[in-house]
Amino acid sequence: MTLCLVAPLFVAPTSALRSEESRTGTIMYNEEQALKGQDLYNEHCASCHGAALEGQGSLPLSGATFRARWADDHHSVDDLFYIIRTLMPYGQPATLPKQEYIDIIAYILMVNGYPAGAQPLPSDPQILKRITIKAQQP
Amino acid sequence: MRHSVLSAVLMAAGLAQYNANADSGPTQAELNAAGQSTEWLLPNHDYAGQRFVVLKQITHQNAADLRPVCIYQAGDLRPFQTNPLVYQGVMYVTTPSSTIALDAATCAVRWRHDWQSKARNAEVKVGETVVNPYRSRGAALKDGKLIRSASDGYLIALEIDTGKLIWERHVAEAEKYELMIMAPLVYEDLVISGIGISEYGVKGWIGAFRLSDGEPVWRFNAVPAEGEPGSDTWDSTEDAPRGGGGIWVTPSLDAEKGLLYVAVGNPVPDFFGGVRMGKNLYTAAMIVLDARSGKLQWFRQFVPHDLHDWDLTVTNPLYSTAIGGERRPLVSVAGKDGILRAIDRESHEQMYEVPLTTIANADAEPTVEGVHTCPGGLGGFEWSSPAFSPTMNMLVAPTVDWCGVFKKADELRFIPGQLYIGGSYTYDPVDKSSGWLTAVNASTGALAWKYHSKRPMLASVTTTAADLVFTGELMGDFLVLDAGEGKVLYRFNTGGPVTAGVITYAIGGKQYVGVMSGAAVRFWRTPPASSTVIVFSLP
Repeated sequence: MTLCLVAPLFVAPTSALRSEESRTGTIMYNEEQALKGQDLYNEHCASCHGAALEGQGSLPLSGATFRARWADDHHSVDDLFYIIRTLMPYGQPATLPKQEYIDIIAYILMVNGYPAGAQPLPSDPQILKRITIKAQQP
Repeated sequence: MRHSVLSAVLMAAGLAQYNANADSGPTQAELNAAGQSTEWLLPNHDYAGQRFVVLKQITHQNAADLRPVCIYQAGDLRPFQTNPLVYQGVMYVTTPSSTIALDAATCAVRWRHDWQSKARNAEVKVGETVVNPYRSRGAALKDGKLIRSASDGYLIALEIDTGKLIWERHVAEAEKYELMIMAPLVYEDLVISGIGISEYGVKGWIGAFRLSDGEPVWRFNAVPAEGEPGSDTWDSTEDAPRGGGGIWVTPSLDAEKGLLYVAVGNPVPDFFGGVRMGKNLYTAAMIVLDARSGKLQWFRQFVPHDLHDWDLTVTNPLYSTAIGGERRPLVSVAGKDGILRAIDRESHEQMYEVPLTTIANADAEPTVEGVHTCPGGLGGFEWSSPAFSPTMNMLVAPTVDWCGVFKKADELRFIPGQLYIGGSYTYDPVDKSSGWLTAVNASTGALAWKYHSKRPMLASVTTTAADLVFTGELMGDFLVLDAGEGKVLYRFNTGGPVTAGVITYAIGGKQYVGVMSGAAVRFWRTPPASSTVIVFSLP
């Protein structure tokens, strides 16, 4: 687990983003949202991806696999949102409200060491598209 | 001195030192005659893929006396889909990373080879665990070599007697999900294999590699490259990747004519057809290739412009039967659309087609709201083919009966390394899934009998000269049925899903049945299980 890592998300400058997070360009979810996401994750995701996102018969959502698949300076948070909202939960895809998918993403980001801020991760795809998941060091 | 020079040449060519007896088999003559063999030399028993064995020691009268004589556990919890081979008293089985040679009568281990993945991409290997969807459906044997694929895109050849590595060759881009799942087929000096996962935007192909060192010989693109014949059947005004055409089941082979019968999978993105207007050749089609050159001889597409992930999966058995007083050479063709078809291999006419699962809303395109359709995304026919019984003039086919809802996505996005299906599939509750073992007249397709299973039927099917049928169930039972009526004569719970090979063979005049039991892919919603070989015989 990589909770100790400080690995910023990068938010492209935009007039649509006025929060402190957007000015610093580093943080885009808050802890309350991530904890909501944790409950949702435990309910809908943990049986396949593991209680600690370690992968349990399915792909890990943390560590080396997350770094290789998502935290590579190329993928946006909206890419992650697109895959999760169209394909998950496994066997019952596209069945959760969009806000719940966003909360789960906040939790995944927290577990992967991206620090929380004051504002929640928004569900507006146009904003999410501008947030790049920055590469992390192992 | 001569040996040293040879060794030096081999080492210079990048080959490991190879000491196997050059006369080791199985030979081409043995493989050509596999249909009459009481061993199990090819993934579907023989090149024609008939899965019929001339043995008749186990009969209707004594089948109930069968009992397990030995068990081998490979110590692997990943999906177990191997088609075992038996040659000179030794059974060869594969897991995703291991190859094991067992005494086929006692399960004693002769040797075991564990492939160490060379993948550098964590997506393919995390720690010691390979997490891509690779699975192994088995190996091929010829001239003292065992050839199999690995999760990282390598083909490897092992010494049949010792398990020592003879050669290794990187032939597929596993990091891009070019995964060789099928058991390879060996013919003359060629190893034939294809790549089998379509849903990551991969373009399917099948190729031949030299048996002596794995060097590529030919390759046929199941999704034509720009300018190749068939490329004009993929029309779009949008700049979106198109692909699919995975080939994930071992082809059948007319060894006399040197013709390969290959089943090609679905087009991609699966549910978003607007970016691939047209028939999308050669997806969901049977292609017939010259085995020596890879040149297309003819083809027949069964689901043009598929929108339901209905791969064609089965192009065997090849068999001959009387129709209207005339002997016709046929190929049995089936796929995830749930329909069994018989095609004349000379005239290319379709002789009959019979639906073997529930079919509903099959012509309805997926919508954003979703359309309930049968078969669902899991078939129909998966990787196990019908078996042919020449004594009964019968085909016995395992199928999945499980419907679901296909949804088109509100937008299409290709993200490298991620599933690229343009929508989603939601299957009906597990208790609505079931399976069938169906026997039909091989000349007409007329129903002979049906056996209903509570879960999808995925295991291979074998017929014998005693008019018995051997197969297995997802709930774990090994079954022996009467080929005449479909009555169950023997049932034994193996402790794990049976989704792979069920074979029969003889050693020292005694008939055995080998059953592969182990974890199923998570699609199938079964409990965890360990890869296990169980051998049965009469007392």
